[in-house]
Amino acid sequence: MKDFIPFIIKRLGATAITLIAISMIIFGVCQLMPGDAVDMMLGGIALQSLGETTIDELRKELGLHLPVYQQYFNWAVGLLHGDLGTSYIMKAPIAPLVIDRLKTSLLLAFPASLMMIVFGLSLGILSAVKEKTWIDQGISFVSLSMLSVPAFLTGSLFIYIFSVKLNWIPAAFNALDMDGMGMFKILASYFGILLFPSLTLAFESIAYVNRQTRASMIEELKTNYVRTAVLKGVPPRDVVLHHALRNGLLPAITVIAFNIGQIIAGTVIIEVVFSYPGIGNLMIMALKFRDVPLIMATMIVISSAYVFANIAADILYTQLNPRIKYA
Amino acid sequence: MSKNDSTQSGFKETISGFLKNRLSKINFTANLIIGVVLLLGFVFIGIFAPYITPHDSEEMYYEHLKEMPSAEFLLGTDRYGRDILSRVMMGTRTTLLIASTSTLIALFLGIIFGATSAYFGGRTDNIMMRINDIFMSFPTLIFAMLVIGVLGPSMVNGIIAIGIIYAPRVTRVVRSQALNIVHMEYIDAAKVGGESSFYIIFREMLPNLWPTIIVEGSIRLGYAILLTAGLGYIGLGPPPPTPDWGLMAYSERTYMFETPWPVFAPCLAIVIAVIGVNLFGEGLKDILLAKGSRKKEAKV
Repeated sequence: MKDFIPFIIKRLGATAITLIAISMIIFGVCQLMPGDAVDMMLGGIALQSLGETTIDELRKELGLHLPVYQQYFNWAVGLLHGDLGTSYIMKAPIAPLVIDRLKTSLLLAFPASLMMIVFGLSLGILSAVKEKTWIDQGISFVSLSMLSVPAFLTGSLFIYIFSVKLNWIPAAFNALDMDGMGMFKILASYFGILLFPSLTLAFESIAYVNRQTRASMIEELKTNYVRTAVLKGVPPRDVVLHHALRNGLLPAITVIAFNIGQIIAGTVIIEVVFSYPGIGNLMIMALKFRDVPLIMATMIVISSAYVFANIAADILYTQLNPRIKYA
Repeated sequence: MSKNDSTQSGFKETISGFLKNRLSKINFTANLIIGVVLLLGFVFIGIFAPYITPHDSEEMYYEHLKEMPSAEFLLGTDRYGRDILSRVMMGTRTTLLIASTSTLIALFLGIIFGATSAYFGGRTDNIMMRINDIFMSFPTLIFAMLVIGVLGPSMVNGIIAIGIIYAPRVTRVVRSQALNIVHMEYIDAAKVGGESSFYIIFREMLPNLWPTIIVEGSIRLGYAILLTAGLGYIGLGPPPPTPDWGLMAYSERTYMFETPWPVFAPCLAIVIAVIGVNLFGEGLKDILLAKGSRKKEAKV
């Protein structure tokens, strides 16, 4: 525990450097975009009729006359103050918009993470206990195929089965009409709406967590202390859940924390499949309209979330495993 | 040129060595056979697609809009009356080209950076790995979106983006394997013999890295196919009318209520391709890497 504080400080310092580097890469790549913001805002025709002086003034107003490093510095300082800039296409400050969309996306990522933990762990434990039976082989086959299937196929299948064929859920998020519905009905339809996107989002991660849990549990179940517990007459359920799981969980937890990052980044495709108004769809719209401040803002928000999830994985692992030395 | 040739022959020696030593011991598992068959099938379709498609993939049959599968159109037609089977076959070409070229780029960069980093070690290794970590802390899809979104969606930009984002991941794998080799006596002998670093890295170390690299390449290829499809689906693949599996699935999804074929046919092709590559990779792993040294399950 004594080494813990310096370890955390060191780790957070590394995170800060990573985030700075990421913001530099994002900013740098966006500089490669042909044409500058003024061209994009005005379009070619207006550019000719406005005359050079007006355009220069507009450039100055946006800070585009400054050297690149100065522009980056201004942008980065703005980021630290929670100012993500102004969108060209929406002519509005980006921060509230991005935060709003991020919340919508997290509404998807949170249940997805829960599903990953619950299904991933329980299926992994089940296949470890039933190792080499048809249950284990069935689960292994399903999780392997989960890894070979693109997320948009899973999503499209869900939509086709539950929306087109069975008509249980609306096909698109914005197709929901909430007027004149009771509280319970709204909740139920929200559940229905969120269930399949988040399940799709969790699919790949469930497979990874399941495989890791299975592998580490099989290893633990072969150890001497488990054998001792069995011979001592401890009920099998307690041996699995109390003795073996305690150690078998360690590697799984790292995989889980790492996959939370994957889930956050993975929302992009899921949001397109289900027409879900989250931050991923905002990013795609920004790319389509070449709205540089909006591109940079959405990218940095998603990347930071991913980085923080990975750091959490790192810290959790060293905290939970006393055998690991702080490095 | 001569350097390149020598690397090539080093590669060939390794391969023939493997064949001599292990051909008798290879158990041609079902995995490997199915994987090879599927992969060869896709490569064949990818190369000869324009000559073997039943219809022209661009031709619009206006009398046959959104048709169910029939004898004439084996997988039905899309909303413009185009034959889906032909488009899926042409899409094989696009996907294989993007996925395999970007994997090769990633392997190329990964070998250079990974082997160099491990060979020089110390501070050089440290700095290179920190830079590597920074690129690895980008989610793959987000980085690919950034590069393609800014440079504009096209086949070349897709290849560049996927190649760059997978390179640090290959680098890490190559480096960790190279670290096992770098302290071996024959490397020391080469150093004492006054060989150049370049020679040692590419003639002495590389031949022993090939098994790892080939297995890593097959794993990457599977991921690259999925990423290519995903990028196509969100509209960042090659622009239409190039037949692209992801884009086909996306642009037909609004008509899923009437005809699900156009959405699921390209998806099925993706799944079969990825399963083929993965089985092939598993099979290769069994042959090339000793069972005990299998790498831990790691995600992208």
